[in-house]
Amino acid sequence: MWRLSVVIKEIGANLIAERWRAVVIAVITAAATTSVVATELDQVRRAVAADAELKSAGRYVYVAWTEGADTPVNPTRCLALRHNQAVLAAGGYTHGGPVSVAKAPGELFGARMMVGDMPALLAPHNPPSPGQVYISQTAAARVGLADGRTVLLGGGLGNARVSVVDMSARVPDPGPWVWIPAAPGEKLDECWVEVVPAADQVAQPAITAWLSQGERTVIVTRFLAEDPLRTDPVTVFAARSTRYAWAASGVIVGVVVWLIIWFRRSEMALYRTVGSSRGQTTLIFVLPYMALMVVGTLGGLLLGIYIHGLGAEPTATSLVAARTSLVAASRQSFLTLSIGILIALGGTLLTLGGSIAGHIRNRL
Amino acid sequence: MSLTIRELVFAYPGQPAVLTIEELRVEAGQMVAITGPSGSGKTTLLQLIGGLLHPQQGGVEGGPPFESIRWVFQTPTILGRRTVLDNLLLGLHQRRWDQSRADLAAGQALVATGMDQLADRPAGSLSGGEIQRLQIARALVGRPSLVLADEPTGQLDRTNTERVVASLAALRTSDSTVIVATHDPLVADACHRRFELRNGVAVEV
Ligand SMILES: Nc1ncnc2c1ncn2[C@@H]1O[C@H](COP(=O)(O)OP(=O)(O)OP(=O)(O)O)[C@@H](O)[C@H]1O
Ligand SMILES: [Mg+2]
Repeated sequence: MWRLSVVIKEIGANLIAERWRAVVIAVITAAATTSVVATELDQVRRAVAADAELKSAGRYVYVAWTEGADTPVNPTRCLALRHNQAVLAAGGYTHGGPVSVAKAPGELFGARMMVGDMPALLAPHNPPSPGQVYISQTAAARVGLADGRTVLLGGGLGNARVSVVDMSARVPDPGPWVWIPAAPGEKLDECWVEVVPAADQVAQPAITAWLSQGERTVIVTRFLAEDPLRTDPVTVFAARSTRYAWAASGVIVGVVVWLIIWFRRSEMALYRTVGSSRGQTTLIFVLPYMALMVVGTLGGLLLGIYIHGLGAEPTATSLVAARTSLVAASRQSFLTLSIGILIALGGTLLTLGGSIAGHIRNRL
Repeated sequence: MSLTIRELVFAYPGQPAVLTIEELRVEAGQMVAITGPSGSGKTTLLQLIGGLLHPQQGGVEGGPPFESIRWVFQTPTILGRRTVLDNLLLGLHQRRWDQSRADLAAGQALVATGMDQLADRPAGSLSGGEIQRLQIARALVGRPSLVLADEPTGQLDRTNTERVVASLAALRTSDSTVIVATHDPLVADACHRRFELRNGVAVEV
């Protein structure tokens, strides 16, 4: 047994005498942690951004339709999906007849009669106000139609004020459609459903079953083609090449600390010859370095966060992202520190167990 | 603490025996010199007594555990960036000595070796002779049961050798058993007894 206060005093005096080594250890640990943290935060930010982009492109949107006009999708059932907690939005449309716009003679548009949440499903970021007639930016630009213009619609639809809506997030090439709000009728040509991400796994069979009741055979497909899903940001993040960066930087930190201790092995031999046991000697040499590694890790974590930032604007989603970023960065720092301490400790025990007797012999 | 070397045979791997000692007894509290020409096995004998080497036959009876032995090395073995006083107190942290007792013992050892003016100097700034006296003071301060010193004056001039010999006197009068390997007659004369190693055999002279 020994007096802890004396050991701590000894460690303090030792640290002051060897302060440059102490600074090197703290700085190297901080640098390793900072790079790991900044990399991880960058990866999280990319994943969150890519996920948000994919989500607004329709990552969680499903489209239901039927083959054969005699068994169309049931509008009541489609709109009833809105009461499901796992459903963010549900709506649909039916094709109407051809529509001419007085402002653009010679151009024929197709009418799409919308029900339910169709506006929000078409333009998730800037859902147009309900009850208006919509035309996509792309189509409007083609015929030179400005937002808010009242135009005479052909096909017996009369005058209407047209909202020009940016649908590019969901519908990259929207085609010549005029989207017209309508009351639910007898049938729907398509029913669109956006679900919460957590329900994505079960959405397809569940929607199919719900809409297929009776003799209808409803086909439900993902709104997005398989291609963009193959680079799912969550999968990409999970497979990121830097996911073991903590191990690499932990090994670097641990080996540096071990090397510094190894160069002090004659000092360790000296402690042994004045009566320190193996355990005490290990403590005196590793404990202060462990403390420095902890300090370096905390400093590196804060510096990494300071350099990179946790998230973007203080919206609800980016707050969530910031919290995951903080957790991810802390986890990486902690793993780096653990590996570093393990290697430093193991290395010191190895050094002490091995050549110390030989080292004492060399002094004689 | 007395120790007895009995029927000890030691050889380095693949070499003829360096030491074949029938019996060599050192009484408690005595200071004993081991002399002999270079290569006769003085250092080897100290390492065997200190447990750094293990004999093929026989052994050392009554030797203390490794932690209770203090060493005086021929080459400077100190913490150069720490003060002389810190170096003296080094071995005491694991004993339940309180600070005042440790300071008292360190002060006595410094006076006994003529080092009291240098207590606050960084040990790395000492001269060769002062370093050897520091090592002797360090051996004194913990009142160890056994001190093993290998050529404590090996690298010193006449004046410094005399100062170290004067410091060794403090070890001679202490309760510790002291074994000094040396080829310096001045050091050997300062001891109670003297053994000479010749062809691996220890003869008292
Ligand atoms: N590690 C070793 N391996 C093999 N032989 C060794 C080793 N160490 C010492 N020897 C040999 O053992 C013999 C005794 O060596 P030792 O160092 O004990 O002599 P010594 O009396 O201390 O000599 P000196 O006065 O020069 O210090 C020598 O012949 C030496 O060459
Ligand atoms: Mg020798």
